Order: sequence, then structure tokens, then C-alpha cells
Amino acid sequence: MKILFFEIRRYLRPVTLAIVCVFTFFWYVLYGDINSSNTANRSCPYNLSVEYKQRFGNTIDRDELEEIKKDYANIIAQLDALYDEYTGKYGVHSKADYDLIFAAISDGKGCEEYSAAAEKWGEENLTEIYDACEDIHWQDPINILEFKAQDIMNVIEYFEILDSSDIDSFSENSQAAKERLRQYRASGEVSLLLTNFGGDYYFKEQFKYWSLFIYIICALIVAPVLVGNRVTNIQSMQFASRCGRSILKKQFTAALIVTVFVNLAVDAFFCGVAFFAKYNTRHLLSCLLNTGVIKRATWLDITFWQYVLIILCRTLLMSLSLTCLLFILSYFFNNYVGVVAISIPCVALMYIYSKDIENNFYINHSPVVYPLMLLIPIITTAALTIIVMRRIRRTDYLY
Amino acid sequence: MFFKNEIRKILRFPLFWIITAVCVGFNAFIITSNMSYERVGIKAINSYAKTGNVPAFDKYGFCENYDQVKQTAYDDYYKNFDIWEFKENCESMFVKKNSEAAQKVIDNNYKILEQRINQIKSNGEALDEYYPGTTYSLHYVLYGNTFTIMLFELAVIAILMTSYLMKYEEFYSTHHTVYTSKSGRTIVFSKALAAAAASAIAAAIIIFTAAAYFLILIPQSTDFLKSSVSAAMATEQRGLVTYPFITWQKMSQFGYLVRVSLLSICYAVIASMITFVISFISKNAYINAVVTAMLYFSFIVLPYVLPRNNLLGFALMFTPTGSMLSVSNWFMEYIFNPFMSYPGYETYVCLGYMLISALISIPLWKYFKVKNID
Repeated sequence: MKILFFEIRRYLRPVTLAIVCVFTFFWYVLYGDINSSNTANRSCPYNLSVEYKQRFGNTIDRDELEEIKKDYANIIAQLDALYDEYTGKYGVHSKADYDLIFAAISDGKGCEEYSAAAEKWGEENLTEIYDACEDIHWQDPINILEFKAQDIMNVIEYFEILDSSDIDSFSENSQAAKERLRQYRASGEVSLLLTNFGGDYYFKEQFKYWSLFIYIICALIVAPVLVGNRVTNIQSMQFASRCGRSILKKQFTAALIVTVFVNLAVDAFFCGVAFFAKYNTRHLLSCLLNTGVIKRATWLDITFWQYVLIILCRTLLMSLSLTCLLFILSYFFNNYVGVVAISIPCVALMYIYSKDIENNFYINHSPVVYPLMLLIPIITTAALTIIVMRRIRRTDYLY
Repeated sequence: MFFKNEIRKILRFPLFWIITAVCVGFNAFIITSNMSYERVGIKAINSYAKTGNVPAFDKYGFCENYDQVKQTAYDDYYKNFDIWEFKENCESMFVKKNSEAAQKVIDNNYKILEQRINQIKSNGEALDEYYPGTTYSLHYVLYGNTFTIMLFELAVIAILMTSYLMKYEEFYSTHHTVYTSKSGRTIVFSKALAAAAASAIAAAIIIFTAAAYFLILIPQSTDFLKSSVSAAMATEQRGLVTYPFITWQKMSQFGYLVRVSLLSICYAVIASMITFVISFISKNAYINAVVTAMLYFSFIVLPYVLPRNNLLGFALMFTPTGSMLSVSNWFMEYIFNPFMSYPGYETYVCLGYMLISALISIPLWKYFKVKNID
């Protein structure tokens, strides 16, 4: 145990820790904004999802959809009143009027909206009216209500997409996937996750940068240690005895423990910010991941918190595979330059591979693909590690 | 004498050639994956420009699109283009507020730019024919994508090879022999030159093979290679807006490629020089390489953290990493970072950092000359 502790300490030397701290600071500056700071963009879906969670629970059914449609109609009425109050003097009396003039200016001459707007306000006035109304549109209270209306519309349109799309037309998907979709849609309910613009999607997209961070830190910590033994001629002394050769196992175990520690630290930080900061998605953790759309439907009925655990475990397993790979590769290099050179493509490949695994999580791929893609690197690197370590322990040590 | 032996150490190091070969292969993959469908279009346009007839394999209307863009490009992008109005709109939407002094510098540069735009309109550059930029985005594929990745590959190679060479004696435990004499201590400058030369060689190989592969894979007509980078037809979407490439001087497409290639080699040499400076204070090649990489990374991060209205924040706008990330905006104006809209920005960054590295290395070398070797 003492040797294991000393080996762990070797991985976490002051210089290494200093490099890790500086790198963590840089990474935090670039990717630390885990919950978006754009207030209107994030507060609206957050408030909507909290409201719907209280009113409807974890899912929205058809009856509840009717209530949502009534909410939408109320908000449109409120917006019409506000537009009339603030932009009525420019001739824009409702949301429909503003949408018309916005479409006319964006799409330009030749489009239907431009002709309709020109007829209503006069072609020569369009730009002036739009410029005046645009500033008002982007300020409270109209801005907040517009975002809310858009978020509610997204929920209503989602149901319309589910109703209008024909499962049988998804020709590239298997019968089992289509059956799964039918089974889900037959329930008539949709998970609340869709109201928060896919809390699961947002979590996954943000976490991928931090999973890259985990891989880089593991490479920084693990890669140089064995090479350091060789460069400082410790290896010749270590391998001169049976006890010394058995230390290799403890060095490997220490590398795995450090990897687990790095994972836990980063996961704790990331989940702490994602689920306890302002506009978090903690209230959606018990919602089902399935939202009825083929690219976001899963084979199993898993909830959001289970999905989070799967992502964290996947990253842990990938980082352990990377550690195994770098541990055995670093044995074959007798200088630091080689091990740094090999670490870069290893980290890049591991990151690309883990992103690829994630794309195979949903029912548009066979259910065996995801676990198989997880197992391949784990089994390969574990087998390689066992084989190479056996060879190292038995080989004649010449220099 | 020492230089020859030192450069031989790198050129005989198998990893140097392995990394170079991997980079060459990877760049070829990047170029091929970015230009699969578009190649047919370019081939069709080449045939159409040469013969005047639409080729039979043009099933998707590439030549028709070419004609349409040719007719409307000048009117769309140059006729009513007011650089001051454009600058104000973009600054209000995308760019942070600068201090008064900095804004004065930026405005001065835009006065020069205004004259350049008038020159482009009057001397016919704007009317040059090229593959429609909004359809093919050749400039982004080659410079924004491929060259950006290549510059970072070259930086990695330069950092690794310089670290290897600077710590070569420690690797093979000959430092007690080599550094005990005066000649031995002066060997470090031969090492610096050799590392810079090796970085330049790797850079030349990688850039030349990538450029040659690009021109072979997407054979461009000679006339189009002679057309101006600032041509209206070559306009591509840059970030969130679409506006022409307004170079500070008249440059053909081929001339632009040559200048970017030469400057990229210089950036590889900068990486080598910075690593050389850091090697005086690092214990081993691993620390050397990692610290240099972190320094490059800090050049990206620190501008986010520091305010721009002080001298340090302003100085951090002129860094090798910042310049490397905007290869597609070299030698031209770039609205999203007005500090880069400076004639010769990328060249001054290159020369400036070479000078800084050279100046810092002098006291460090003096310290190294008298240092105890353990």
C-alpha cells in the first residue's frame, strides 16, 4: 500500500500539478460558461420548463397540449396589445404586423411578404418603420414575451411534427426502431425535456469539451512517468529484482487511480455547475429521454439522470482506456519527445471516437452498436496492457 | 561545423520523418474530405471557361450558377459598398468597445482601406473571374481550414524537435562532457539554428505537399490562378457576414498562396525560437514542450481575460496564436478583429516575436554560460 501511495504521489508531482492548474484555468476561461449567460435565451426556456414541471409533471399529454395552446393564444393577445401600445404610432399594431414587416425586410423584394407589406405601409416607408420597431422589439417587455411565445410554439410544433411524420417512411431505419417509435408515440405523451431545448443535448454538447479536458489531463499526468524512469536510469535499478519488477503493477494501478480521481473531480465540477447554477436542468432529471423523434429516441426507457450517468461512465471508461494505452506506449519510448508526440494523436483519436460513440446512442442505430463501441477500446487496451506488462516483467533488461 | 552535426541529429531522428509523414497524410485527408462534391463543379467551370460550352457532365447547373454570380457579383459586393458604414454596423454588433487611442489607430487603417477599395474598383480587379466563393469557399477550405491546422502541426513539430535537440545531451548523459568547455557551451546557438532550420524544412515539406495536393485534386485554370483575391466573384461568407476579401495590395490567387506559405514557414521558426528560449529554464524536454504549448494556449485565453484598454491587453492582440487562428485573413482586412486590419499585421507579429525571442535569449544564454551543470 505504501508503494502504491508513493507511486500516486509520483504522478501528482508539484510541477505536474502546477501545469494542470494553469491548464484548468485556461480551459475554464474558454469553456467554463456551462450555462449560457444570454439571459433572455436561457431564462425563458428555464422558466417555461419549471412552470410545466409544476403543472404537468414529467410529460405532456394531449389534454395538456390544449392548455398550452390556450396559453399561446393568451400570450399572442398580450403581444398584440403591447405592439399596439409601443409601435402603434408607426402603423404596426400586432405581432402579425411585426412578423410581416420583418419577413419583408429580411427576404427582400420579390417575396410575397414584401408585396403585402408594401401594400399596407408603402414601399418607401418599410425600412424606416422596421428600424423604428426593431429596437422596441428587442427590449422588454416585448422581448421576453416573444421568446416565451417562441418557446411555447416550439412545443406545439413538436407535437405537430410527431403527428404529421409517417414512421413507415423512415426507410433507412430498422423495423425494430420503427416499432419502438410507434410504441412510444402510442402513449400519447411527450417528455418534458423538449421544453428546455433538449437539456440532454445541451449537457452532452457542453460536456464533450470537458471530456477532452479529462483526456488531456490524463495524458499530461500519465505519459511522462515511465519515460522518466528510463531517462533517469531508475529502470535499471528497479528491474534488477523481482520486487522491483512487481512495482510495475502498482505503477499501473496508481495511473488508473489518478485517472479515476481526475474524472471524479471534473465530473463534480461540471455537474455542480450544470445542475446547481442559475437556469439549471436539475428539475428535469427524472424526465424520460425519449422525445418521440428518431434521432432522440432511445432503445431503453432511461431518464435524464441515467443518461448523465451513462455519459460520465463512458468518459471514465474511455479515459481509463487512454491511460492503459499511454502507459504501455510510454514504455517503448526512451525520451520525452516521443511520448508527447504519441500522446497527441492518442488523445485526438480517443476524443473523436468517444464523440462517435455518442452518435450511436439513439434508435437510428442498432442497440448493440453503442455497448460494442464502448467495449472494443476497453478490451483491446486491457488485453494489450496485460500482454505487454507480462513481457516487460519477463524480459532481459539490457540497459 | 556544429550546425552541420546538430541538424544531422534531427534529420536522423526517425520521429521527425514519421510526424512529417503523418501530417502530410492528415492534410491530404482534410483537403479531400472538404472538397468532394465541389470538385465536379470546378471541373465543369474550367471546361466552360475554356470552351464556352456547358460540359455534358454538368447535371447540377454549375455553369449556370457561375454565369449568374459573374453577372451580379460586382453589383452585390462592390457597387454600393461603404466600408465605414459596414465597419460601424459590424462593430456595433460583434466587436468589443476599444479605447480611444486604439480606435484612432483602427480608423486610420480603415482610411488606407478605403483608398484600396477605390483602387480595386478602378483598376478592374473587382471584375476578375473566379470560382464563385459563395458556392465553393475555396479560400476558406485552403486557408481557413487546412492552413490553420497545418500551422498548428508545424508548431507541434517545431516545439518537439527543438525540445529534443536542446535536451539531447541530457538524454544521452553527455552534458557533463559537452558543457564543460567554452565551445561546448556555445553549441546552443548552433542548436537553435539547426532546430529552426529543421522546423523550416518540415514546414516546407508539409506546406508544399498540401498545396500541391490541393492544386492537383482541384485543378484550377491558370487564368483563375492569376485573378485577384479581391475579385467580387471570389467573395465568401466570413463569419456572419458576406463581403469581399480586401487585400492591402493587389495579389493574385497564386501570389497569395505563395506569401501565406512563406509566412507559415516563418511561424514555424518562431515556435522553434520560443521553445529555444524556454529550454534555458526548463529541466527536461517534457516540461519544455508542455510549457511552450501552454504559452501558445495562453495567447488565445488571455485576451478574453484581460481588458483591452491597457497596454498588456492591447499587446496580447498581437500574438502568434491569434495570427495563426486567422490565416484566412492574412494580408487583408478583418472586421471581427479590427486590430488585425493593420497592413502587415501578420508580418509584424512574426518579426516582432522573432526579435523578442532573440532579445530574451541573450541574457538567458549569458546565464547558461556560467551555470553549474548538475
